[in-house]
Amino acid sequence: MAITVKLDDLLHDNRMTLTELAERVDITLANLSILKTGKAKAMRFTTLEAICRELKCQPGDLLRYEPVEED
Amino acid sequence: MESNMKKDSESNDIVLKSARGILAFSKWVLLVGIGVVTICLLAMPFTYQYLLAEMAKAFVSPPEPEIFGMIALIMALAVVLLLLTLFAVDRLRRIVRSVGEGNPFTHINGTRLRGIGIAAVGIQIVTFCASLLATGVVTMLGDPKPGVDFEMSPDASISISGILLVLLLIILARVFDRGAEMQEELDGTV
Repeated sequence: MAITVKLDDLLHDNRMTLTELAERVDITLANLSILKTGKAKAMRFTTLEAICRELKCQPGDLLRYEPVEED
Repeated sequence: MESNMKKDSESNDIVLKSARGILAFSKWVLLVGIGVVTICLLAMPFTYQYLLAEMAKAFVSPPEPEIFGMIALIMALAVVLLLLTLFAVDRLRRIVRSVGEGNPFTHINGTRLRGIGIAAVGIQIVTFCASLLATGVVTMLGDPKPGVDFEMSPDASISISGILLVLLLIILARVFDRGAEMQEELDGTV
């Protein structure tokens, strides 16, 4: 997928673990792992809002568009 | 609100449990039915003379030997009919089980419903053929002797409700396919 989630970098910048973020945004660790590993198909605005609030960032800081060449 | 939901889930459980019970019972009844009809069919060549004599006693004109071929064919069709019904009941049982597990919107359930739909088409065709044969048998047997109680009027016709059932099942299969796609999308949503 051309959209990548830069959750790792943001967690590192905020000195926060995935488990801690999961508790703060009230999302299961399993779902956050899906998001982190880029396996998620879609993201709710409520999830995006909660992550941006806790990591003090903008949606653009979390998501990145990297075009992939298709065969 | 909460008590209503609780009541709903309880009634759902009763519905599911009843459905499971009825389908399991139907499965065993069908298996016994298939066994009995198959045994009768296999025993026919051995009881042929006895049956011929018994029928000659009951009907004005003695039955022709070909009639037993037709009766055997009707019995074979009955076995096919019961097998198709068993197939449909078994698929329905699996769908009910998946509803109980809380995950009914899967592609396999769409395939199961389509299978039940095809079985329903088969049941319609087999029933129609068997009814035609039965009409032929009744005609060939002719009038019963006075004092013999024989009343049989097979009705060979296409059932409208059967056609509607097939359409409903095929459309429902598509609904389940779409439901499965939506479920996959929802599962990938964080």
